[in-house]
Amino acid sequence: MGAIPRGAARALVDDAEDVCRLCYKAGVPITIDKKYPDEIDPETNMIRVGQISKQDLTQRGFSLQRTSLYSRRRALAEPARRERLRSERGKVPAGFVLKGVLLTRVARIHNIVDGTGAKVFSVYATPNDESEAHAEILFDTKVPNSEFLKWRLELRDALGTLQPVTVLPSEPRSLRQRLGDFCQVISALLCR
Amino acid sequence: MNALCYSEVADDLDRWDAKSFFSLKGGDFAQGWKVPKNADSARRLLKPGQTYSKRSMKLAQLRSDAAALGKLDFEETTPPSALAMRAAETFINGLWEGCLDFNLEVSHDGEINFLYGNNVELFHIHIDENGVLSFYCKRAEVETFGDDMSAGEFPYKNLLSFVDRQK
Repeated sequence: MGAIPRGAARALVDDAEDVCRLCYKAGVPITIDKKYPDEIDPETNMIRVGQISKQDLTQRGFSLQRTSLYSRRRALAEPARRERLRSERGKVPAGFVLKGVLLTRVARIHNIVDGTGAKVFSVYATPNDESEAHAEILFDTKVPNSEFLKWRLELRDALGTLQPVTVLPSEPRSLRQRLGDFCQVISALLCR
Repeated sequence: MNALCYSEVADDLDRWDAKSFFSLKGGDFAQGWKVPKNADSARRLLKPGQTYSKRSMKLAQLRSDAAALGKLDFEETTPPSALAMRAAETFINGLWEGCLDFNLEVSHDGEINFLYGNNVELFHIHIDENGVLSFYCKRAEVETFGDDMSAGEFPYKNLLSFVDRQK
């Protein structure tokens, strides 16, 4: 199955890396029952399956952050950044609150396989202007919608339950630390 | 009340609480009709008033959620398309009385989800931006899939049997 990369520059994120999804709640009651827009299902403490949309997974990409390049400080600053963007565009404040993060190992997402053993979701590194840690989950567009409904449940389970932002490292790892880790992996491979 | 309507009610008096009917005042009618306890089972079915209000409530929730997505204008949010809304309303109107308890989730991309069941046994219906229905059902480890159908083609009986089994 395998997701279709949208451009040559995309690189798969390594199975051993951790990724996180920031989950927000808006502070404005908007619906008929005065519910607040909330990505998290309070019953399961997991992301609502409705929030894993097919258009996200096949066109835009389901956004994540690579935790090795990300930090708690940046996550906590994100709601304010979003509000600032809204006010710049002349929109009313939404009262964004960062509820927490969904933290998982990339291997858990890559290990979701179909009946033939092919990977269903792929995590690609997609750094952008706002975040060099940005990554996306993509999914094969040729998969029928009904199968997507099945696989998104698996993805929801792989993303796990909501955790406090404190699980993120306080600072992103430095280039020296990352080079050190890389050298360790290389030397371990050479020793084999 | 015109004569025709009166005669229909008079023929069916045991279904109505005749006493209160004849002394109908103000908002009494809004409380719905009363079915005698000794009425046969066919007549003790769910009161039409209740079913109607539940369906209306779901339709109102759908419209409210959809309008909210357009009105608040969050980043990267799209309200459901007219095609998706029409399909969703047709779907809700086509549901059997017993199938009106579902979780409605409208995604930020305007996709509409009707969720029945729990984590183990579930029936999920999805309407995309073109108003096309798909469904995935998992019951007793048996999976059923359905794709590319209109709201009129949806197998409502399968959903009813799933809901009945859940009770």
